[in-house]
Amino acid sequence: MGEMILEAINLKKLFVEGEDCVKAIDDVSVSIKQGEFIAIMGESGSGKTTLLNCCSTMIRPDSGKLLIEGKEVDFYNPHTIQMLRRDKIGFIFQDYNLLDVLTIEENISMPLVIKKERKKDIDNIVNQIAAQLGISEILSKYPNQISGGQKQRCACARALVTNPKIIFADEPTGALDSKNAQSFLELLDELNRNLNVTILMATHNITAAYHTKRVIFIKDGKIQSEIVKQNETKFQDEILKNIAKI
Amino acid sequence: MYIALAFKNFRKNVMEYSLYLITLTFLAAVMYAFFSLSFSKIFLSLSENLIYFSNIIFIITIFISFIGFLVVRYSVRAMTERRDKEFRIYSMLGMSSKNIILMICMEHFLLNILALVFGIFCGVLLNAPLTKLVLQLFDAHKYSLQFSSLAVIYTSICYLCFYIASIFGTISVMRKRYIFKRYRKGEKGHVVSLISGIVFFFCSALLLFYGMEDPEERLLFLGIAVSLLFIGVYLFYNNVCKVMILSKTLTEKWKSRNLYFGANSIKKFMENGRKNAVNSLLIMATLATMSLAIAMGNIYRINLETFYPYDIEVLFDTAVTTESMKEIETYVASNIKMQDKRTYYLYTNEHIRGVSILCLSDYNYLRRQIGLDEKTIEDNQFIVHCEERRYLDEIDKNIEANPGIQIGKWKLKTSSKLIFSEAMEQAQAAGRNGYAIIVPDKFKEYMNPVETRLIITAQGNVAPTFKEELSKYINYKWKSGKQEISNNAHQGNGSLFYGVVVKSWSERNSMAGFTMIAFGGIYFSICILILVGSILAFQQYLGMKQSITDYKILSAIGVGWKEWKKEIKLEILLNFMFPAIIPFIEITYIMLVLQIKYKFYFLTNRFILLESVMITLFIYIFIHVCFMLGTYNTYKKVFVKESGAM
Repeated sequence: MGEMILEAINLKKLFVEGEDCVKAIDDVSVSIKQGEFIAIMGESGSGKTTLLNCCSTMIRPDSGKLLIEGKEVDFYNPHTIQMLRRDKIGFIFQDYNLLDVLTIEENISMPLVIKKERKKDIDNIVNQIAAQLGISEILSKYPNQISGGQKQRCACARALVTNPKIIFADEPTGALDSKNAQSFLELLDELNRNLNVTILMATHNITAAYHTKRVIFIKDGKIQSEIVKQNETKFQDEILKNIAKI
Repeated sequence: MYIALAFKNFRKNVMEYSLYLITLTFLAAVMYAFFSLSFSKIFLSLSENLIYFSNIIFIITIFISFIGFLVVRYSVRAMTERRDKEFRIYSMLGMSSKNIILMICMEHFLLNILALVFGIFCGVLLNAPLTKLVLQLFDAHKYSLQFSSLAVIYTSICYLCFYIASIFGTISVMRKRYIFKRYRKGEKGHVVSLISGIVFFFCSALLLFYGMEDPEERLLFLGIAVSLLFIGVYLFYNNVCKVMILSKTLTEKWKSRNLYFGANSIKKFMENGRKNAVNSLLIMATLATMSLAIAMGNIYRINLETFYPYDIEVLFDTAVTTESMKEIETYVASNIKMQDKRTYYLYTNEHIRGVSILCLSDYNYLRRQIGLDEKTIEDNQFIVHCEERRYLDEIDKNIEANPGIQIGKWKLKTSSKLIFSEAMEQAQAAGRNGYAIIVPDKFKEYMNPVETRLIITAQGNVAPTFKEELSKYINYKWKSGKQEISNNAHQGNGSLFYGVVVKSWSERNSMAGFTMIAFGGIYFSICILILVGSILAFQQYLGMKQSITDYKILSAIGVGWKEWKKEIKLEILLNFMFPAIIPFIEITYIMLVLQIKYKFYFLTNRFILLESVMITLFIYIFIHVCFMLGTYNTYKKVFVKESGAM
C-alpha cells in the first residue's frame, strides 16, 4: 500500500423531493490508499452508490470534504472537476454506458482524445490495454454487436486508458451473468494485483466482495463496520457475518 | 382527475412546450395581423380592388394551415415521444391509452388557447406597423388602432385545425413504436445521386442565363430551370451526408479531431438527409416568393410614374371636334385647378396601315409634360416612337429594308437615330399598341384624324373619385346631341368607345393589385419560414434524450459542460443553416440573372432584385436566429435540469 489517494471526511448528502428529505449519507469518512481494492456493501438504499458518487465527484455532497491526492476538491469549480475526471479518475458503470455511435476502439480512445493526446500514442495505448483485457479482436465492432461481458471489459478499458489514480465501479457485475461476472471480477483482481490499480467498488454481491481486500459496510447512510482481508477464509466469514448484521 | 393531471403536466412541461408555444404564438400573431388588415375599413377605402385582398389572404391561409397541420403533427409527435417513459408508467399503473390521449389533448388545448390569446394580442400590436406601412405606400396617413372580431374568428378556425393536428400526432405516437434506424455502411449510388444533383444545378443555371432570350419560350425554360433546381437541391441534401461518411479522408479527419461530436453529427445528418432536403426545398420556395414579392412592389413603385405620366387623359376612338372637346375642358376646369391642357389627334394615312401617326408639336407637348427634351426633324424626316422592346428589332429591320414612307406626294425618311422609346404611352396617348410615327406638322392636312386625345395637367392632386365623375359627365351629359357620336359607326351600334384615365385612381388601383400580390407573397413566406424554423427546432429537440444519456457518460470521463455547450451551439447552427446554404446561393444567382436580363424594364440603375434578395435573406436570418436562440435556451435549460450538468 502506498500514498493516500482519496480521503472523504464527514460527507453528508441529503435528497429533498418536495416535503420529503432523505439522508443518503450521514457523516461518512473514508480513506483509500494507493493499490487498495475496496468494496462498499449494503442493501438497496443504504447509500453506497451515493457515497461512491460523492467520492468520484459525480454528485456534490452537502457538507464534508473530499481530498484527492491530498488536495481538497472544490465542487463549485467545474473546471477542477473536469480535470479530475480527465486525469485522475476512472469510472465503470453498471450499465456499461458505452457510446453507441462509436466503435469499441473509439470508445476506449475517447478519454485520450479529450486529453488531446497524439493519435499515435492513443493507438498504442488502446492496443496495449485491449490486449491486456482480451478485447483486441472486437475493437472495430460497435457496442450493440458485442456481449455484456465484452461491453463491461471495454468500459473497464476506457476507465484504465488514462492511467487514473483511482477507479470507481458502481455495481459493475450488476448487468452480467454469473460467468461473465466472475470473469470480470477476476480481471479487476488481476489489475489490482499486477498493475497496482486502486479500485473502489459499490456492490451488494457477496462474490464480488470476496475479490476485494477491504470491505466497508454501510447502512442507512452510515458506516457500520469495516473489515480488512488477512486470511481468505476468515475474510469471507467476516463478510457474511457483517452482511447479516446490516 | 385527468384535468388536474393535465394542468399539472402543462405547468411542469411549460419549458419543453415553450418552442411549440412560441411557434403557435408567432403564427397566430401573423395570421391575425394579415386578416385584420384585409378586413380593415381604412385599408379597403384606399382602393376598390383591395377588396380581393381578403380572398388572397384566405387562400394563402388555407395553404399555410395545411403545412401548419403537418408541422404541428410532427412537433407533437416529438414532444410526446420525449415523454414516453412517463406514459409507460401511466400505462403500467393501469391508465388506458384512451385516457392518456385524453390527458394529452387537454394539455394541448391549454397550449393552443394560451398561444391563440397571446398571439392575437401580439397580432393587434403587429397590425399597427403593418397597416401604417401599407398606408404609406398609398400616401395615406389616417390611421387608428383597430380590433377585428372577424380576424379573431378566422384565426381561431385555423387554430382548431392545429388542435386537430395535435390530436392526430398524439394518437400516431401512442399507436406506433419508435424504431431507431442506424446507418452503418454507406450505399452505392449516393455518389451518383449527389453528382446528378450538382449537374442539375449547373443545367438550371445555364438554362436561366441562356434560355430566357426568346420571349415565347421564356416561361418554358424558366419552368424547366426551376424544376431542375428543385430536383438538384433534393438530391444534393439527401445524399451529401451519406457521401461524406463514405469518404475515408473526411472520416479520418473527424476521428482525430473530435470523436464523439463528429460521429454524432454525422449520424444525425445521415438520419436527417431527407428532412434536410425537404426543409431546403421549403426554404427555397419561401426565399423565392419573398424576394419576388418584395421586388415586384419596389419595381412597380419605381415604374409607376412611367405608367401614368399624365394627370388626366380623355381618349375617343373617333375624331371629336375641338368645340366639343372644349366642353369637356370647361367641365374639368370647373372641378379641379388646371395648369395646362391640350387636345390633339392620332392620324392614319392610306399608305401606312395599322400605325398611328402623330404631329411633331403634339409629340413634343407630350414629351414636355413628362420632362423629356423636345425633338426636331427635317421636313423630309419622320420619327418612330416605340415603347415595346419586342417590336424594336423588327422596326430596325423594316427601316433597313424600307426606310421611307409616303404622305401625299412627299417621301419621308428615317434612321435608327430617330427611334425613341421613352415611356409615354398612358392609355395609348402616344399611339396604339405602344408605337407611333411622328411627322412634321405641315403634313396634317394630308392625313385623316381617327382618334382624339385630351391631356390635362393639374395643379396639385386630383381626387381618385374624379375619374368616375368625369366618366359620368361624358357618358350622360356631354355625349347627347353630339354629331360626331351619332356619325360614329364603331361596334356597329353607333356607340362610342372612350376612356378616362385619372392618374391618382390608376396608381391606387395598380398598387392595389401589386400590394395584394406582394403582401400575399410576404405573408405566405413568413408563415412558411416560421413553420420551417419550428421543424428545425423540433428536430434538435428530438435528439435530446440520447444527448442527455451521452452527456452523462462523457461527463464522467472529463468532458465539461462548456465544451458540450459549444458543440450544441455548433449543432444548432448547422441544423438551421445547412439546409439554407444552397437556396441562398441559388436565389441570389437567379435574381442576379433576372436583374441582368431584364434591367431594361426596371427603369432604374438600382439593383432592385438583388436588394430584394438581401432584404429577404435578412428576414430569413432574423427569424431563424430567433428560433436558434429559442432552441438553444430551451435545450440548455431542459438539458441542465435532466442531466445535472453544471
